[in-house]
Amino acid sequence: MRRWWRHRSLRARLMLVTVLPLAAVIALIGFVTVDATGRATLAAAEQTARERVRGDIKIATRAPNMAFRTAPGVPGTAPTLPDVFGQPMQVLDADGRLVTGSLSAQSLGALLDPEEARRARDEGDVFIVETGTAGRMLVVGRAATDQNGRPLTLLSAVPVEDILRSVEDRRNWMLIGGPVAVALLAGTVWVAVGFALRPVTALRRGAQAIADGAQRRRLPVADARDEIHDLALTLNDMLDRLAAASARQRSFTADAAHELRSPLASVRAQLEVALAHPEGQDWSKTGRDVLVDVQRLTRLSEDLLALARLDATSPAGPGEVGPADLGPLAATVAERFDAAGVSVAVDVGDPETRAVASPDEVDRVLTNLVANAVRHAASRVVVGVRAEPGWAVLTVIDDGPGIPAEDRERVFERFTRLDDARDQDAGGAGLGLAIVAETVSRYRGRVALADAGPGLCATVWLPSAATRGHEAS
Amino acid sequence: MRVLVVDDERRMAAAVRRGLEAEGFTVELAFDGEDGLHRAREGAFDAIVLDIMLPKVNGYEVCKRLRAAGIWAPILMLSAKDGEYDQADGLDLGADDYLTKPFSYVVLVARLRALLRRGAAPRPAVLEAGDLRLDPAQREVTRAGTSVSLTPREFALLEFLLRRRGEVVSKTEILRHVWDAHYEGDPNVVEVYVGYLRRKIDVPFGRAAVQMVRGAGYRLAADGG
Repeated sequence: MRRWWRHRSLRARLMLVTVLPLAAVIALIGFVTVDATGRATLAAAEQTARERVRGDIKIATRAPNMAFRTAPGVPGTAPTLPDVFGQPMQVLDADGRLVTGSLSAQSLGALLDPEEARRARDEGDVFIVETGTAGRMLVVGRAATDQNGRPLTLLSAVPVEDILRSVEDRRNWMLIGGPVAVALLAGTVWVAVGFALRPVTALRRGAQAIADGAQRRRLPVADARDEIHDLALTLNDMLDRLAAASARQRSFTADAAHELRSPLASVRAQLEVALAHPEGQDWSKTGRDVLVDVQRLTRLSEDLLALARLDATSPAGPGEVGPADLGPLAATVAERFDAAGVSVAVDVGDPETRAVASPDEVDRVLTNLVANAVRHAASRVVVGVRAEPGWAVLTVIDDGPGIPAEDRERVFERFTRLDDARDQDAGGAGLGLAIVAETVSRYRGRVALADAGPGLCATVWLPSAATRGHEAS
Repeated sequence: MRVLVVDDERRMAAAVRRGLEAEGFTVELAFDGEDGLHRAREGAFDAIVLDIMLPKVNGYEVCKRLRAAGIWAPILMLSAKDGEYDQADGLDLGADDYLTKPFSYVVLVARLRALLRRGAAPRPAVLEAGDLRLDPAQREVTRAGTSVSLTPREFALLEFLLRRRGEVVSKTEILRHVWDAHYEGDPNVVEVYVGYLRRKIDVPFGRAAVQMVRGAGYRLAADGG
């Protein structure tokens, strides 16, 4: 049953939920009106009949000779009982034979058979008898005796044909009209629910079209400001975000393909031209040039792999990594870069600064930041380490041209290269800062760029290992 | 033959120059879009090799501006982007060929030669006659800046007439090119469609670009009527 119910359409279920209780109510009202009024009118008829039996006893008592003098079974001489309002009365003897009756009752024969007469007399049963010409009658009985003390049965009948017929008429009307009313109601509800569910159908069609690969990835929004309207808006919002995510993914793939193909094309063209025209070819120059492109490819694939790893692995939980000792790390990285033209200094404010992060990943973050700084610095880069409540903080400050405020968010996106930084041999492919941002956010830290006037200050906040120790104790 | 190579991959551009010079071409290099545009305008090149992702002005824009300036030197687009739409966009903007990086040097040279054979005849991506414009790639027709909506058949008819603007084309030619070489129906269908076309591109503008030449066929006035 549950299963059947769950497999019905929403429309059918709504219709059944609405119509079934109403149908029950209609049936109940119909039954009550027909049955109760029928019962009430019959009870009134029975009352009348019983009063008549009592009344006629009085008549018989008042005129005993008239009533029961004649011996049973002798026709023609029996006096007639008074006939009141077409309500016949009969007197039966102990054997159930008709002794006498009121005028209209004589032609009917005994209204009850002997057994019925006994029950009517002794147990007060009520009978409805089909009398032919006069229609159905309600018959009650009562015990009496004749002047010789022999038991008699006194029957009183009330014609109930009209009452019964009107009850039956009403019942028939209910039996036909009730179902018709329910059917009409069901039809109305079916149509109304269908109408109300039309936006849902439209939504379904829209979703189907999207599933089939429609160009416009939006669901139709209903005009009415109802729940379905809100649902469509919410779903469209979700579709937009999915589309944006997949567009980002597509553009990342396209960018990655572009960045990989460019150095490959360069290598291939140089080698093919060198091989096609070997005359006067400076092979050692070609070798050096190709090597530059190969190094570019190497850097790029390292960066792509780092990003892919960051995307694929879930962040390590506390206690699983680090701590990274920032002072020594900064010194190592600075040493690596402290070469031609630009000096890289380290300024450690608090030698005990430790971050909850893998030392390798902090090394990569620092390396990428310092590489950027060295590339743009005029003469000097300073790597700073300090502690703030709860945070281990790294700063990389250069004295270069800086980055305009409106670009400071954008440079953290993948493959973003500001136009003057397009020199592909010196600069990366635009993944360095994306890797920094990704790594830092994995440790629930943050990174920000600010004006160092002149130059740029990159600051990285990582959760401090010391604070974590405090909380534990 | 003078060839301009516009690409910001300097080592690659240099290698291509060395190769092409060995094949007998005269080659100039430009490393960004602005420089490329400037040299192409000044230099009277027989062909241009154009990268798409260029600093300053991108390859699409360079291509569009060169065509708008009436420079019809064949353009071979070169790009590490290999999306269908990237290629289609380049060609629709007026480029003549498209090669995806990394390319084969041999194929590059062969395609350049093929482009040079074709020469620098005007090959507008958008067809024009006076103020009547038809863009086949966008499937868009405008008259005096107002967009005109045409059915596919009307569009094909107008495109055919525009490509032969100023010439008289016979009904039979129109039937063969716009309908079907095996079209068996009533040839008067041409008359009917010319009527439709006039009602859309001429009558509302008080013009008469589509003219009937008695006994010969139809002509679209080169000045747009």
